Amino acid sequence: MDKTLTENKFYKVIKSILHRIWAILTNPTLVYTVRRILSAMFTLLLLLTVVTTMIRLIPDTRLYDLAVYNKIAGTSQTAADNYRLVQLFKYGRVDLDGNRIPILKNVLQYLYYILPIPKSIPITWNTRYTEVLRYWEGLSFLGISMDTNELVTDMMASRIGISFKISMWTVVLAYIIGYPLGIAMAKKPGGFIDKLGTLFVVLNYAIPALVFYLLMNKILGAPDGIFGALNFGYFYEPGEFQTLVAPIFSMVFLSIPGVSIWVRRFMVDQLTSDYVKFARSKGLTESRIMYVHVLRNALVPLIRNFPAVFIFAIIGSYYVEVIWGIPGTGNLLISALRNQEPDVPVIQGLTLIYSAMSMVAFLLGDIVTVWFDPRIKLTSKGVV
Amino acid sequence: MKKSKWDKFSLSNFEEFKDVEIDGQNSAVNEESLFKFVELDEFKSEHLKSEPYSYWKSVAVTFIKKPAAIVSIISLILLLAGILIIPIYTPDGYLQFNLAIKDLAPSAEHLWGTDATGRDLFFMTWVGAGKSLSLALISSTLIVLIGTIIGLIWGFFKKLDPFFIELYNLIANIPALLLYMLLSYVFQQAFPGMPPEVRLIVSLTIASWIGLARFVRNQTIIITNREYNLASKALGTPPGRIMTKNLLPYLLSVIITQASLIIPGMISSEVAMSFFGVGLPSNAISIGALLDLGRRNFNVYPFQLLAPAGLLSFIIFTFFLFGLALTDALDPKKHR
Repeated sequence: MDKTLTENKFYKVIKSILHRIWAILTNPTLVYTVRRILSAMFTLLLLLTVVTTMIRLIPDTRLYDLAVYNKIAGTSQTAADNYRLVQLFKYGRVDLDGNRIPILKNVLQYLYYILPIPKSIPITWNTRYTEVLRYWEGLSFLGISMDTNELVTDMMASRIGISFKISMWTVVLAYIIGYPLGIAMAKKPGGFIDKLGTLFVVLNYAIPALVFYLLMNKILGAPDGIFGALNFGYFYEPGEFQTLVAPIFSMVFLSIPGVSIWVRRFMVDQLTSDYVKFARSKGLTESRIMYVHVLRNALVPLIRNFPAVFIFAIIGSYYVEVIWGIPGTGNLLISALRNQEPDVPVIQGLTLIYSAMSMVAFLLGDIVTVWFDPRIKLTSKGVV
Repeated sequence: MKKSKWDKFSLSNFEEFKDVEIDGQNSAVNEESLFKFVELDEFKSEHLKSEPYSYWKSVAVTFIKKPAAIVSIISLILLLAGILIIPIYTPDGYLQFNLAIKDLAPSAEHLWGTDATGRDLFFMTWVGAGKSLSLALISSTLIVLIGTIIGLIWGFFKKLDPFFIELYNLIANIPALLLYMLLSYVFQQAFPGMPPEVRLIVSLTIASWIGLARFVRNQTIIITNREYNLASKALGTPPGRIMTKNLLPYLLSVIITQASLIIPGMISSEVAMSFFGVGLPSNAISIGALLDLGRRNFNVYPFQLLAPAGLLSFIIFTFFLFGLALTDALDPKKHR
């Protein structure tokens, strides 16, 4: 019977398919990727819990206006208590019956809201809060801003574009300028270009970013200054790209050292390595060694480094967005934090989005490195 | 003849052999004249002519020889003197609103001019700088203490690794400035009675200690498996003693290097938070608030921005230079 089964053609096909599926499933790159994604999701869940708990630390008395409460209580105590309950309900502290909601339920509720599955969530009630007037339907729900009553997802969607645009420009330009600079510095360590570049980097680190941005805003933007003819302006105007030139230039200027110092260090390390010595002994020209052998090796960590620079650009865009008045996510966050009334949904949502973005960026950096560099071997325990 | 690097070891460089011709084949060297008998001296043979190597002494010597170090030390002394002395001699009413003297240009009476509410910018800036600097120094000290202790424990006890790695992922994945602001915001809302300075120090410390802890952990793991530590372990030395007597002295220089770079970072963060209005309250005197006020009137009164910006740049540059020189001096490879 065994013999007939093993010789069965159908059995062989099934076996080879299963074998292939098994090979794909146990592919170290895939296993590593899945592991990293799972671990990132766990971290995100933990983060959600911590942030929710932190926000629950804010006492109830900060969530409603005591003056308003006392004023209403002057006429009717029930109305005042109702006002207080409504406020607490908006922040997820109590349910419709006035019972307190535990933190864990807050976390699970938020998790349910942000999971990308179709759902409908009640968002407005009638004045007595007994009957739902409007539902929200969609995938991910981040709440409603306490300040503007807009959906947080809508606010972010309308603002993330400009932030992303600035960051992308910054990263691309920083690499285009910083990379050749790093190579030029590495060509002759201790040479003129190297010294000039090092001076640039040191000065760059020594200038406080905030001061640099403020001065750039004033110097580049002045209508009667040296750059007045180019019309950069002090503030961003929607649809006019030249008003973005000054902020992007400032961010690129501060991002270049991060790229070029790293490229220089890597190249200098590589130039003393065995394969370069061998290539030299074979009689290859210096430029061939540099551009064909060393640079190709430097490309892999370049990809790995990319997310970090991107994250720097997003973080740096807080300053730029506030100073140039760009309506991006950084500006949204700062104004939510400055708000007198705690705009919890905006803060919580942005924190999560930023953290998720940075996690994804680092994850992509690692995974892309693994995919690009055949020398990196993966085992079930991670990178070797 | 081309000079080779071995030339300095050539015999002709030594005083006694100056007259001896050893270059070329036809020089007849008298072997008797090259060597002379030295009597054995018990005392001299036990005595070292060179001084014993002391790490910290070499650090000090290397450090003092650097121009950057001297410049930064002089700047630091000036800075500290300014921060400690200038606020004491503030004339009455110079830090109060006085609309009669608002927006004055720099003059002998008001060295750096006055701001839009008539406060003297010279004294305001120095008071603000003192506040920023003390906040940064206190939080850096806390970060270094907590980071070092936890980093040592983290690196030494491998079982704690998963917990701390997860904690690290949690903290490091939130952009630093956002985390500072978030913590400061929550503390402000949750504990309204908390002084803003304490709130800032606590939030800066909570958000930053883990970076240093991870650095210390990595260094600890590298050196725990060296022979001397394995020997200590085998001899039954308690972990606390290994950490303080074996690991800490070894790590001290790299920790100092890191710490010197943490201070300017903390100053920048504090200033940025106050600038955004989530740090020190807007009525408090701080560099961040001054920068925010100054940028509004820059076109008419540029000195209102340049005064705080200039002092802040000076502080950051001084600390950066100091850290750079110290990093070089602490590197034992450069002790020659």
